[in-house]
Amino acid sequence: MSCLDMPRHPVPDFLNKTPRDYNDAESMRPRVPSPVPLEARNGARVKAQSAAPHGVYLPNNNILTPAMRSPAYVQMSTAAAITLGIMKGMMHRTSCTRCLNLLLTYPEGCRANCAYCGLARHREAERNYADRNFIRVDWPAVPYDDVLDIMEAGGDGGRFHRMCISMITHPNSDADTRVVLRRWVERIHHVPVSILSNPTTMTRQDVQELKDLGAEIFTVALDAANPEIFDRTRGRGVASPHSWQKYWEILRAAAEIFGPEKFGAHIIVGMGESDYDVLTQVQTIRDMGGHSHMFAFFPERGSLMDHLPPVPRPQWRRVQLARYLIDYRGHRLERMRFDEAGRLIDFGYPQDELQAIIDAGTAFRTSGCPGKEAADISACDRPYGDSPPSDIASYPFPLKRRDIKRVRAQLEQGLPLGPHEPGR
Amino acid sequence: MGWMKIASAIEPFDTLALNETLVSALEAEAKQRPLGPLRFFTPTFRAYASEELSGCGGKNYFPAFSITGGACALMCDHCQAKILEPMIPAKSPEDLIRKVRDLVWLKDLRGFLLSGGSNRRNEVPYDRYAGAIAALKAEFPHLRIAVHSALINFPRAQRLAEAGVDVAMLDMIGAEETIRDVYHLDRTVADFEESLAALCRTSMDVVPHIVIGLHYGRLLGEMKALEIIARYPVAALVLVVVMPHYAPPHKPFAVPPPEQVAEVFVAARKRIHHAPVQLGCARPGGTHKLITDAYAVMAGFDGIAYPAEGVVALARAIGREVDQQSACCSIGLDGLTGRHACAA
Repeated sequence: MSCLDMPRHPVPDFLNKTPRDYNDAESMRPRVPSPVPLEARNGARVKAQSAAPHGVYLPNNNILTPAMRSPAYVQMSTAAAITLGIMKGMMHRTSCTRCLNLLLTYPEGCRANCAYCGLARHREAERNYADRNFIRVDWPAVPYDDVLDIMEAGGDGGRFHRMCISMITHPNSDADTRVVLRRWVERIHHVPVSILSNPTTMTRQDVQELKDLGAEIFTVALDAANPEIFDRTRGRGVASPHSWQKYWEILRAAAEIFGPEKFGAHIIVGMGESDYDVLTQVQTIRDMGGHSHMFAFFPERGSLMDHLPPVPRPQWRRVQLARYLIDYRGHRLERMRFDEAGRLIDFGYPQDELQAIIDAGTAFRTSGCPGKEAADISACDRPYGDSPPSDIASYPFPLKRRDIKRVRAQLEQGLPLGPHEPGR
Repeated sequence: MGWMKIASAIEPFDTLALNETLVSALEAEAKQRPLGPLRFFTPTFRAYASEELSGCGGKNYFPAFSITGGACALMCDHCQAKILEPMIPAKSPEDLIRKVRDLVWLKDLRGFLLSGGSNRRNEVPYDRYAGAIAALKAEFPHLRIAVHSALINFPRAQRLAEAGVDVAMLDMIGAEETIRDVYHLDRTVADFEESLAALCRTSMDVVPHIVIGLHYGRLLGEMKALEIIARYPVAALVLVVVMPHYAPPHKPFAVPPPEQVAEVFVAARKRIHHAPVQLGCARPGGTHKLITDAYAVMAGFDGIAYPAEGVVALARAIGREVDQQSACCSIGLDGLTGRHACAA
């Protein structure tokens, strides 16, 4: 199933409703999960059936979910599976992704319970782990040996600029990440590896070991832009084990161990934080030497926030642009102006240069670890991971003139940008 | 080949002075009554790995929580609240629930020990934790939960049992002087026996401990404590050896010599037939531990926690079947093997 076919139901269609200016903290409260029956906990159903996997497993395919376990098995994004030729499918306005995103997989699944995430633990009640949607798409499970064989034989046609291991929260994920990393580095020399870490189970020593094994970039999915939203969406608020403090401890360790330009953090925009909150984190991470990778909040089907509106485009565009200025144009938070609610009201950037940056469009592309194209262009393009193709939040390809026009209109809805000469 | 010879062929026992008379006596005893299987326990209270047994690396994770953090009002001379220090503080029922939940998800927690400092009457205030224990047990029925009960009456013990506690542990003291001098406590041996009796009336597995050398390193109430325990349907008996380095400088503890420790071992094995007898994790290290462990193996103990290097080989060499479990020896992950019959 390609991301185009992804059923939207029961996500309500918030798009085209009365324009909202931004997603405030009050309205962005996660819902309470339904209880998980004992017989469904910890992957009990999959483990009880204990069906042996045979080759690639396509999620939701009307067969028993087999008992698949990393490091023998990994899951990969639908876009990566299409690029690698494992799945058939078409994507809107793009034919491939530049990053092979892998998720570790276990019948017990991710033990965290993050409110915005499709992989969250509470979903045991309704769906086996390998069948859960994540950033809007299915994640087929593939024998890792097959992935290595295809890559070694050049089966991706040189399209992958990067590979990324998402650790998920599981007692075995530290050890299994090392195995997956080591086996990749031994066989696939031309594609560098990023680690999307799980700080909660990690120590500084674990970070060092991943560096020593050959990981190039280390990232931390901070996701929430302030400690309150963090605790509400992925800490105590949802009986999840993560803490803001621990995430920052590992992020700081990564800054020291991996060094400038080789670490980063994910931040989701529109979960109830202010623009100022997001950009404060962005500036701090830039001052440490790293980069921020931005995600537009989208109500993931089946998540505890699936009843909430996606981030309004005006809010998203101004934060996306401000982050680009800080990360790649040497601009600083202190030169921007915010209102009392923490909304960005002035970029504090020369008008003509700002217009040129908007026209170039790079600021509005998916952000993440770089590939071979340019330092400010992410290999990790996650096609439609944070929006439907009908209302793209993060562009997985260079923007065309009509895209720029749309982005500019969205920006101006929330923040007048002053006179603009078309075609610049 | 005699046991002395067998031991001398195993490193590091080849250079250790095992007591020949004692070893011969234990060997003769074993000929009368063949030794059963021996289980080595390697719980995750501390990092452990020997050349013979690997640590459990987070598997079947089994931590200890203290409901008073590092605080204890009793400050007995043999402990000075030092045993509480490495435990995870859980100062409120909510705190306990949250920490246990997290560890279930993150570390595959299989159970835990609930402990804490005492008040001046050697009681630990567990009552307000009953709801939390019940909630955790309902959410995670697989958890094995143990409690260091300290002195306790039947209603309080029953509340713990009803909440879902599987195992209750209690240090048994058999000498009034020890209660008075070491514990600074105005209670009696009879009070300790009453607590044991109260615990045994509940559905919990009761695992009394005897701290060998508790009276400043001398043997004093150990045999009396054994006598008491022999009368109750305990699930197991755990012997530990006092750790002298916890003591305050003005009241130093001697290290009870391994031969004296072995006297209690032999007596325990003779008196307690209705339950497993095990050597617990608290005991002095180094050569003392090697020799003590060797005597425990030869005396026919059913279990040893954190065995010293070479002890597994020794056990096999004298013909004992061995296995390993990464749980606390008082708890076990698949329950205890004790015969729950009253020996009285």
